[in-house]
Order: sequence, then C-alpha cells, then structure tokens
Amino acid sequence: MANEDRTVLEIKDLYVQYNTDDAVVHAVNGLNLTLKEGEKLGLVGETGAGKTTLALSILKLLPDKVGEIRSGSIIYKGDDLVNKPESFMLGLRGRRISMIFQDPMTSLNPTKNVGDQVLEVINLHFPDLTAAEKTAKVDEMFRLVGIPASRKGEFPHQFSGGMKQRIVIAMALIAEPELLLADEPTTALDVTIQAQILELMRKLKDEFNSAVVLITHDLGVVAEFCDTVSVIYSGRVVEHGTVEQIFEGEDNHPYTKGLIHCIPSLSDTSKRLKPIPGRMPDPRNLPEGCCFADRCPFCKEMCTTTMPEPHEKDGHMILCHLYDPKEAGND
Amino acid sequence: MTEDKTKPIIEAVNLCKYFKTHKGMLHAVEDVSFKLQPGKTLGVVGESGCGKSTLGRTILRLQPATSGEVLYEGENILKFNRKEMHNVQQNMQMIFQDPYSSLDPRMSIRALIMEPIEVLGARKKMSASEEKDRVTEIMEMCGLPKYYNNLYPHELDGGMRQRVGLARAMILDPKFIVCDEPVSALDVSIQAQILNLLLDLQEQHELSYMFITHDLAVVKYISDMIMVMYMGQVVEMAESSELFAHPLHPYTRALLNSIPTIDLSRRNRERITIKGEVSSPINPAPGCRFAPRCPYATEACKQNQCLKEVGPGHFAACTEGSL
Repeated sequence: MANEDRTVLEIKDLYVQYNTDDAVVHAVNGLNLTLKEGEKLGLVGETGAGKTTLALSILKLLPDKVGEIRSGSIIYKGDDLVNKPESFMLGLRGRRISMIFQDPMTSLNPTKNVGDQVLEVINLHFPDLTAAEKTAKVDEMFRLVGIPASRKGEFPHQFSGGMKQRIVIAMALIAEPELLLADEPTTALDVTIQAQILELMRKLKDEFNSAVVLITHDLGVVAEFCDTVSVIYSGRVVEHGTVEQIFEGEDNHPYTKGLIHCIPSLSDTSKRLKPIPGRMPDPRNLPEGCCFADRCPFCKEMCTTTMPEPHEKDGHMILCHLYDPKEAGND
Repeated sequence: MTEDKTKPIIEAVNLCKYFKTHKGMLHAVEDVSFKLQPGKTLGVVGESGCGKSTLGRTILRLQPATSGEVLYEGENILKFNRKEMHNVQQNMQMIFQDPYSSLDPRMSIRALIMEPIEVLGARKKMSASEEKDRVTEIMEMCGLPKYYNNLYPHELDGGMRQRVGLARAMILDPKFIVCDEPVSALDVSIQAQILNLLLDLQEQHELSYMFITHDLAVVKYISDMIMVMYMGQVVEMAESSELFAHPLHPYTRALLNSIPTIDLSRRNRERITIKGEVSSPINPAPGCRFAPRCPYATEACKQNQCLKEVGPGHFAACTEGSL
C-alpha cells in the first residue's frame, strides 16, 4: 500500500518465442499490460493466443532452452524480472506471485496426502514456524477453502475435481501473494462447482487484496469476475478496457465483437450464430500487418500491410485501423 | 409432451442402466422416458457423472440396457438380433466429444470417412467411383476441403477433426445422431461454426439429434426439447424456451443461475450456489437424489419422486420453492 503508483505489474512490449527444431514459434508478440493493486484482470483469448505463455513468462517458468524472452520488460513492483537471476525468482514464486494451473487433476502429487502437500508449501515459505503452528496453518487453509481439515490425510484421487482445485487454491494463497495468476482455474469443472470456486476466489481476493490475472477463454466468467479485460490475439493485446467498456460499449475490436457473437445467448432467441470465419494465423509464420486481417469483416488494404497503432480513449485501448482518427474521416 | 400426429423416431420407455461395481450397483441411468420427433433435437444437460453419456450410449445399444425399452420408429431395438441391429444401426449414429482420440491416427481422412460403409457392409452395393463420389459429397457437405482426402488426423485442428467425425456419421445417411459433447473441446469461434453446420445438416436431411452437453447456452441454442438430468434421473423436461423462461426444479434453477454470462446486469444477481457436490450413485437411497444439496429438502423428499406434468409439455420431479 505504501507504493505510490499502486502498479503491481507492468509488461512492456514483450516478445516471447519457442525455438523448436523445425521453426520459431512466435507466441507473444509485443504485448503490453498494466495491473494495479487489487485489480482483477481477465485475459481472454482462444487456444494458442499466448495466454499461458504470458503467465509462464511472468514467473520465468518457460521450458528450458526452448522458450525464450526475446525482448521487452516485465516490471513487478519496480523490478524487471526479465534480467533477474533464478535465485531472485525463487523468492518470488509462490510467495509474492502465485499461480493456479488449469488442470487440478494433474497439479497435485498423487503419492502424497494433501495435508503434506500443503505443509510442503508452508515449510518452504515459513520455515521459522514451529511444527504446531504449521499444522494450525494447514488446518486454517483447509477451512478457508471449505474442506474439512479431517480429510487432510487423504490422497488426491479421493477428492473430486472441484475439491482438488480448492486444495490447489489453498496452496497458492498460503503466502498471501500480491499477485495471483489463475490459468483457466474453472475450465475443467462443472458450472455449479465453477460458481463455487469463483465465489471462493472472490472471497479470498477480498481477504488478501491480491491482484488477480484470470486467464480464460470464457467471456462469461470474465464478465462475472473481473474488473478489466484484455483480449489477446496472436500474442498481442488487441483490446483492453473495463468490463463495461468491453461488453456494453459501442466500440470494440472486430475480434472481440466476433467472439461475443459466437456465444449462444441465454436471453436472445435469434436462430443463427455468426462464427468468425477461418482461424488464428500460424504462430510460426505471422502475417505482416494486423494478425486478424484475413478473418476481419472490416479488413482494408492497409490492414494487411501495416500494424495498427493502439488507440486509447478513457483507458479503453483498441488495436485496430478502424479507430484511426485520420482514417475515420475517409469512410 | 404434446400430442403429435407424427410418430416419434426414438422413444425411450423406463430405460435403466446399472453397472456392477465392487461396492454395489451403480445406478447410471434410472427410469428415463422420452419421445423424440423426426427433425427435432432433444438436449440432455447435466453435470459430469449424471449419466447423460451413458444414456446416449444405451440408446444406441453400444452397451446393453438393464431394463426398459428403446423404440426406433416404434420397434424395440433392444430385442433385435444381430442382423436386424445391423440394418437399424445405419440410421443411428454418434459423434464423440474428443476429436483427438476418436479418430484412428493411422488412417487417412478418406479412409476414416469410408470406414462406416465398410463396417456396415453397404460397400458391396457401391462401385469404387460411387464410393469416391460419396466421400467427396460428404466432405463438401461437412465443409472439409477436397485436398484433406489424403491427410491424417494429426494434420487437422480440433474443429476440422470434429467435421471428420460428423462426416463419418453422415456417410450412412442416418436419421438419428447422438451428439455427445461435440463442441465442448473447441474454441468458441470454432464451436459456433460446428453448431451452425449441425443445424444446416438437420434442415437439409431432417435429422433428429440427441444433443448431450453440460453447456446450457449451447443446449438452448440448438434444442427443441431439453431434459435436465441429475445422478441418472430426469429432474425436469420441457420445451427449450419454456424451460429457460420457467425453470421449476430447484436443481434446474440453481444450474441456470450458475451460468456465467456476458450480460453485466446479471453480475450482482442473488447467487444461488448449491452447497456440496454430487453424492455417489452407487446403491443410492430411494427418493430425490438432489435432496442432500437442496435448500428446500424435507423428510418427504425421501419418498420416491416421479416426473409430473406441471404444465403443457412441461415435466418436473419437484417444484419446491419456485415462484
């Protein structure tokens, strides 16, 4: 709270690529992002848009030798993580920045009971506590996420998917991180369980006042949970704004508009959806100009040749030639 | 259900499917009855483990039913012998959820699409050129470019693979298709393409679908009738618009309330979160299976409950707490 500008995370012009045997995969291409204290940011995009790569880049957990941060900076509370050594990252991971992974089925160790797994995290972050204090902390975390502490001697396979995800959330929140990266935390779960988990995250967020980056492909979840939204396409943020600006505003990036039209609505009874034709460009071979150009209904000649500049109005950023002030007059 | 003059294409009568486990009988599908008219879609919704996929597989006789009947155009297919089954199977097909594991990775797209014809023996009636024409026709119908012919599944993305799955079902010119979560593994933009394709094919060929999904928005979009299942039992069944306008069963209402939507006005709605999780379907106690999680549960819920017609064409097992 002492920090004046209250910015937790600032990503500037980040480029991340995977160097594989056959080709270079451009996963993140000039991405910009800012996150304030206590903010809930939704990161939306389709498979392969670079959402998870971004989260892994922040924690510097990209696969060894293959994943590479080419350029740009990831400034976390004044420190540029890109140049920090592994020892610095170790102090950060789990303690100040935590991550919840998509699949609760595979993020727990099947051979260890869940209480010990939670204890492991406590041992790591609070080595100075006495054994009794540690046990008390384990019990407290279980209570917090709504699992009876009496079950801590059980193994992951004895829990349902929703309960496993609660345990993973408990582990992520033990150190009361300032930043929580949640990568599709509810995708593998049923809607009623999803509602429980989102409710839990909402409650815990209020308790710890962590900033949250919620990575998802589900616009509905974003509208329910987040304050701000970044729509990401081909490794770039193509639109950023508050949930109101994104879901209720007049102006949207054509891709965001397309995504919204793809979702069957519960209230609207119109008979046909309007799918976005085609698919995302191959990240090994990105087009010149705007990456969305060949799927865009408003595509003009310049879209295929020049990258659009971001246009910002009241904090609502759109990366599209349609919103060029000098272009607007010509149409 | 409304009195239709047309004969239903598929009818289930008191269908049950139990599995034997070492802990006891697992009641996966309990006493399910419905009628599906030609050219219509029955949506089956419910959470994982509620028996919706088992229901679909039992109706196609991919696994034997424990009791009850499945009528195809009025005939009980559960009593059919092998040969009779062979004939009727051409009219009843299935599309699977996971387009990655439901296609043989060592077969070319053409061979994959041909396979059902070979398996069901219809090949004898076709010459090689007819076969080729048929595959080309089906591929075009399902939006697969011609050159995909000689490609293999790993060269295709999820949406295209799902189209291949659909082509495999369509090549026998079926009348009824069980779609088991066909779009759940796909991105929204691809999902919309596949849903529209399913609707186009339905219009052109008067197909009937049984559409199994956990996604309520998708089911509303595609279905005429919707059946809500909970732990093997049907808790509510009604026409699509009716169900969404007047959900009656406490479970249906909680389910509808839990769906996240992009409608920001719903953001501050009173949330009905149902506590707890699905209990075990092994040797379940009689009575309502939702009772342990239900806010309105009373002693009376331990009695057996059946579907009652509560409005024209609207069936519900319970209407407790609805307005």
